[in-house]
Amino acid sequence: MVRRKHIRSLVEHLLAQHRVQSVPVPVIKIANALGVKVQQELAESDLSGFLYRDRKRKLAIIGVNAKHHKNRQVFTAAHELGHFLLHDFEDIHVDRQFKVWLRSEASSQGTDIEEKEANLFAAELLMPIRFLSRDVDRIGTFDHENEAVLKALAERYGVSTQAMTFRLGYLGYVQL
Amino acid sequence: MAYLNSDRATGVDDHKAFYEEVGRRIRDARKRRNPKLTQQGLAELVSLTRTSITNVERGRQKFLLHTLADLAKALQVEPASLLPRLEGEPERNLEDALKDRPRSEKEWIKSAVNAAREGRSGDGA
Repeated sequence: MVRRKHIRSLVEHLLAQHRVQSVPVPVIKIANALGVKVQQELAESDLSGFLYRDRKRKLAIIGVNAKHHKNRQVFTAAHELGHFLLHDFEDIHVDRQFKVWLRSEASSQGTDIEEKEANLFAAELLMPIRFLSRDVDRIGTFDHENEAVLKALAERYGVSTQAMTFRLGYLGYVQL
Repeated sequence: MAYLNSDRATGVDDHKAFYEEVGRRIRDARKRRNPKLTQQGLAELVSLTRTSITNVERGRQKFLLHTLADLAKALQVEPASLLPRLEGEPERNLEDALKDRPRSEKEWIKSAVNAAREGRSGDGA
């Protein structure tokens, strides 16, 4: 089971602790404050990000693929930060392209839960409800086909239009 | 420390691991430089042949200290960043953690971890 409540309150706590008053949410700054360095580095296209825990030096490093679009790099960083805070697994965790958006049938157990949790964490952190609900109320009525609105919202939060659309669907603001 | 002692243990190793690590760092710095340099481009900046650069990057050629300074200058990095760390332990930790990973992942992770440890630019994601 994906721990939705736990993740929501963890993000709320982070946003309060780091006094985040506006978007885009400064993910890198938050990671650094938690003792996690974020490093851009070129890699093959199907590699998204990794989390390395250096237990001896008591620090962690997130790597993101510098080849990818900036929005995707930020989402990846947030996703890896989710693993850092939620999952205490192996020393090195590598993520190839995210397929979780597609909600495949096979993704109901094991590590897929962890990937889903990391994705939910990233979405909650980058598109917090308290900001998003305000923005959506201001816009008024729109649906998933209103691309200009979705694109503007996505830009405001520094995420891809796809991520924003999925988030709005998840929160029930649009029907997917 | 392991790098510096390596030849004393066997008598034949001749600091191989040390020069290989220096070479790897030079190659990484060359590829990370903005704008990127080819081996030929770097060779011209430090008055060496391209073949020498190839050999240096593979750890097969030793060079004088002032060449390290020249290389660092051409690569726009601190000379110290081209030298291996003394505490071999944490590096071996990373090696262990990476040993079953595909090569493309290994190189990416190693470069990123080294860059992050040395505080090189690239944290602006």
